[in-house]
Amino acid sequence: MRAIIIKELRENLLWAVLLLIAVSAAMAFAVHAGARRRPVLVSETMEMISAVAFPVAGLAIGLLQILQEHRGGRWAFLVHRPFSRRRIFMAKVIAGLALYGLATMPPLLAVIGWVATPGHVAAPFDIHMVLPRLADLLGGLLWYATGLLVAARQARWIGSRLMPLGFTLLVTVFAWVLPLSFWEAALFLAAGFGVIFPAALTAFDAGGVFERQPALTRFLQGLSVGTGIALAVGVAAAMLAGAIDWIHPTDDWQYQSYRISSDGQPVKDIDGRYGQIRGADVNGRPVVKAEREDDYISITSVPLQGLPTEQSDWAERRRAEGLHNDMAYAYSVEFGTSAAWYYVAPRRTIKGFDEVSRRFIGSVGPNGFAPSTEEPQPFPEPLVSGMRDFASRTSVFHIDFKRREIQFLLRTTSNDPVIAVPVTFNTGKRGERVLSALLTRSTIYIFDGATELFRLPLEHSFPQYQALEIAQIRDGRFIFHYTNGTSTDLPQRDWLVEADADGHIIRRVELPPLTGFPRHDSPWVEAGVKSAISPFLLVLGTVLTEKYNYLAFIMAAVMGIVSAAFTFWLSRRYAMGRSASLLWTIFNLFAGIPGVLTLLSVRQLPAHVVCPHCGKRRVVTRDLCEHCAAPFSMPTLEGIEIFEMV
Amino acid sequence: MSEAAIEVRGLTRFFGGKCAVDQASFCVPRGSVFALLGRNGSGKSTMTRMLLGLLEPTRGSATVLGEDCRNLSPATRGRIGYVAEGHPLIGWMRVRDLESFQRSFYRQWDGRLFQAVIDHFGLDRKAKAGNLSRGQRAGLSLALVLAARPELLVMDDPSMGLDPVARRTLLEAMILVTRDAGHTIFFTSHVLDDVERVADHVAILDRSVLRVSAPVEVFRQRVRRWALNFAGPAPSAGDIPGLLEARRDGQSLRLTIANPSPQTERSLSELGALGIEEQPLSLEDAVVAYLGDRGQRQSLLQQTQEAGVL
Repeated sequence: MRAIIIKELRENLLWAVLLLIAVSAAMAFAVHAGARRRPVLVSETMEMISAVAFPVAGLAIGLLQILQEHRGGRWAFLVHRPFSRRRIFMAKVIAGLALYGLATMPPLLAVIGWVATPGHVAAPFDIHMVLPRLADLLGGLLWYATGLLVAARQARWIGSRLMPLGFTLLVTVFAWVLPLSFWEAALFLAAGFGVIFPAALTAFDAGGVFERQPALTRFLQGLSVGTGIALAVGVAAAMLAGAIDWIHPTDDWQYQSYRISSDGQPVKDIDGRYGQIRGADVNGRPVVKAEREDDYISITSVPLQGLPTEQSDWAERRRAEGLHNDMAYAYSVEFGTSAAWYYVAPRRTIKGFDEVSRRFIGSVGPNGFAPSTEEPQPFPEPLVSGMRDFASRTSVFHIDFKRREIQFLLRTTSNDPVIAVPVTFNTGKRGERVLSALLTRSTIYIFDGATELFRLPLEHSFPQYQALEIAQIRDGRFIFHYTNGTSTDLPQRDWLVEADADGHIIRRVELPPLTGFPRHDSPWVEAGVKSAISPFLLVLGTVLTEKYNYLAFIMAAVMGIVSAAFTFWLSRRYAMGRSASLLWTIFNLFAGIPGVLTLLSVRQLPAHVVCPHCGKRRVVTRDLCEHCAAPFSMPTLEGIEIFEMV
Repeated sequence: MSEAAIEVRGLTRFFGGKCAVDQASFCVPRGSVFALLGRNGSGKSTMTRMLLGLLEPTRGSATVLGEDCRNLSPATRGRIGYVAEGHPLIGWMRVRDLESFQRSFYRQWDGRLFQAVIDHFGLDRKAKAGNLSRGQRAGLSLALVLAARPELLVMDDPSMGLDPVARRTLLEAMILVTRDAGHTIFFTSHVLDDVERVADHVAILDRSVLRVSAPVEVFRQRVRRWALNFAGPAPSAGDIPGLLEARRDGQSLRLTIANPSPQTERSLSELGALGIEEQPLSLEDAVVAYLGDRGQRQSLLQQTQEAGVL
C-alpha cells in the first residue's frame, strides 16, 4: 500500500502544488477584497471563493488520480498485481486526501492565522467563523469522491459520465443553504459522501462495469447518476418552458398591491406583463395612475412573524443563524466614527475596533462601555440590529457609539416579547423628523428619538397577516396597513387603520381582496415541466403544498405510465430477469423520464443477434435464447479447424 | 492440481454489436509455451485481457491457474506475470524506482534476475522509463515481470515494434523462464519467426473465431502444401475440403490444405495436373495461409500483368 501511496503522491504533487497556488491566490484576493475592515473569514467574497475553490481542488485531484491510469494501457500495469483493487483504491484515497490537504489547508490556515492576529483586520475574530470554511473544506472531499466516481465508471464523456456531479452539486447546495450548524452541514456532506464514496470504490473495483458491482452500490451509483439526470432534465424542461412562454406569452398574470396616496387613500395597483395597466380605489373605481412618486407616501413594512433570533420556524432561524450567513458571526453595526463596531453573535457582544491601528478598543454591553482591558460584557439575549436601534426578546435600546452610551427605550416581559426590530418611517414631509416604530406581540409603540409619542394595540398578528406597513401622511395622520403580502393565498383581507397625530384611532377600513396573484407560466407548461422532472415529485409537491392541480395529476399519471411502459419494453431489450424488470418498471412509474435515462445510462444495452432457431433478435449476454431457450450455435466449421486438446 | 494453466470454455466478447471473440475454447497445458496468433483486430488482446480479468467476458468462462478469470484473487494474480501490449510503464519513474515499486508487492522478488535481465537489455538504472526506447521498455517490462518469478507469464504481442536484436534478446529472456519446469508462457504475436523458435503450442484466431489449438508439431503435420503443374493455364482449384489457399501462377497451382485425407488426394488427382508434388511448409507459411483470405488467389505479379499494369 505504501508503494502506491508514494507513487500517487509523487505523480500528482505538481498538480496539487498548482492547485495550492490557485487556491492561495483566490484566498489572497478574498482577503484583499475585505479591505481589512470586515470579518474576512465570513465575507461574501470569501464565501464565494471557498465555495468554489475547495470543490474544484477536490474534483480535479479525484479525476486526475483515476484518469491518469487509463492513459497508454497503464490500468493493467496498476491493477495486475497481488493486491486487491480495493486496497489500491484505498491507497489512492489516502494519497488523494493528503494532496487535497496540501492544496487547500495551507492557504486556509494562513488566512485564519492572519485574521486571528490582532492588528491585521479592524474586525473581530471568533473561532466560530472558521466553521463555514471548515464545512466548505469537507465539501471538497465530497467533490473529490465524485471525481473518483466520474473517472472510474464506464460511460461516455458526452453521455452520462458527468451526471454524478449533479448529485454532488445538489448535496453541496443543501449543505450550504439548509444547515444551522456546522454539524448539520457535516451530516449533509457525510450523507452525500456515503452515497458517492462506496459507488466510486466498487466502480474502481469492477473496472467501471456497472453489472459487476454489488446491488447496494449499483443503487447508490444509480442514485447519483439519476439525480444529475433529473437536474439536467429539469433545466432543459425549464428552458423549454421559457422558450414556449417567450413564443406564446400568457398575458393573464398580474401583480396587485395597495399603495397609499399622499392624501392617505389606498390605491390598488395592478401590474401586468406589459407594465402597469390600471389602478383602482377601494371602491373599485378606476383612477388614473399618478405620474409622480411624490403622489404616494413612502411606506415602511415591518414583518410580524417575530425577531429572527426568536423564530421556532426552521427556515426563519436559518435566515438569521444559518451556517453560511455572516449575520450569525459578526456584522457591522456602526461605521464612520474612526472606530468600527461589530455585533459578535456567538458571544452576544458588541466590539469596537480602531480604524487606523485595527486593534480592539473596547466593547459595549448591557452595563455600558467596557475598555479593551476588560472582558467584553455579553448581552443576556441575542440581539437584532435595526437602522439605529437594537432589539432583543425583552428590550429595545439605542447605543450612541460616539458617546459610548446605551439608552433603553423599552423593557418588556417574555409574555409580550418584542417582535420586530425598531424601524424608522417618514412623516410625509421631506426634511422633517424621522419617527420609529417598535412592536411587541400586543402593542405598537411610536417613538420620536427616545421619546414615546403614543402606543396602539396590535390588532392583527402573524400568520394571518405577514406585515404591518406604517407611514405618516402630510396632514399628520398615521396609516397602519395590515397586509397578507401578495405572494400568499391567505383568505383574510387587508386592513387599514388610521390614527390621528396623538394616536387616537379615526377609522378602520377592510380593503377589497387582492386577486390575480402572479402566474408566470401557463398551467400546461408548468405541469409539463414538473412532470418531466418526476411525476412523483410533482404529486408530492402538490400534496405537500395543498395546491391541488388536477391538470398536474393527469400529466404526472400520463408521464409515469408512458415511462413505465417504455421501461418495461426496454427491460425486454435488456433481457432482464423478472424481478429486475418489475423493479425498474415500478421505479420509473414514479421517476419518469429521468428514471428511463438513468436506466440507459448505468446499464449498457447488450448487443442483439438473430436467433437461428426462432428468428427473433436475442441478447448476446445470455447462454440461452430468451425467446426459445435455444443455445448459441457454434461458429460455422470450414473444414480447416485443428483442435488437439491436451 | 489441474493439468491446464488456462482453460477457456466458450469465451465470447462483444463490443457493441461487434463480436471480438466468438465462443473460443482451448487449454494451455502447464509448462507449455502457447502462442495465440491472429491478424490485427482478430481478438488476441481481447482474449488476453479477458483471461486476466481486465475485461468482462460477454459469455463463457475461463479458469487461470484454477481460478475463474472474472474473480482472480490477489494471490493468484501474484503467480501470473503480465506484459501488456506496448509495454506500458509509469513514465516518470526511473528503472530503479520501478523495481522498488514492483518489489514491494512480491515476496519472492528475485533482484538478481531483475538485474540480469536489465543488464541483458543494457538498461541504466537511473534512466526514466518514459525516455527508454521500445526495445528497452520491453526489456524493463519483462524484467519487472520475470523477477516476480511468475508461474504463468502472459505477454500481449511482446515483440511488437521491436528491432531484430531486441526481439532476439526478448526471446532469450522468455526461454530463461521456461527453464523452470512447470512454468507456462502464453503469448500473442504477429512475428511468426519468434513463434517457431519458442512455441510448442499454437492457437489461431481468425476474425474472432478460433480455428486452431494444437501442439506445433500436430499443426505442422495437419497443414500441407502441394504444387501442381499443368500443360496449359492452371485451372481453378474447385471445392477441395480444407482448402486454405490456392495460388495460381501461370501453369502452376499451389494449394495449402488443412486436415488432408484420402479424399484430398483424390480431389487433387481429378484436377488433371501433369505432376503433383508436396512441398515443405514452414510454420510461418502455414499460419499465413490461415490468416489470409480463404480460397483462390493469383500471385500479385500475375494479377498486375493480367490487368495490364506491368
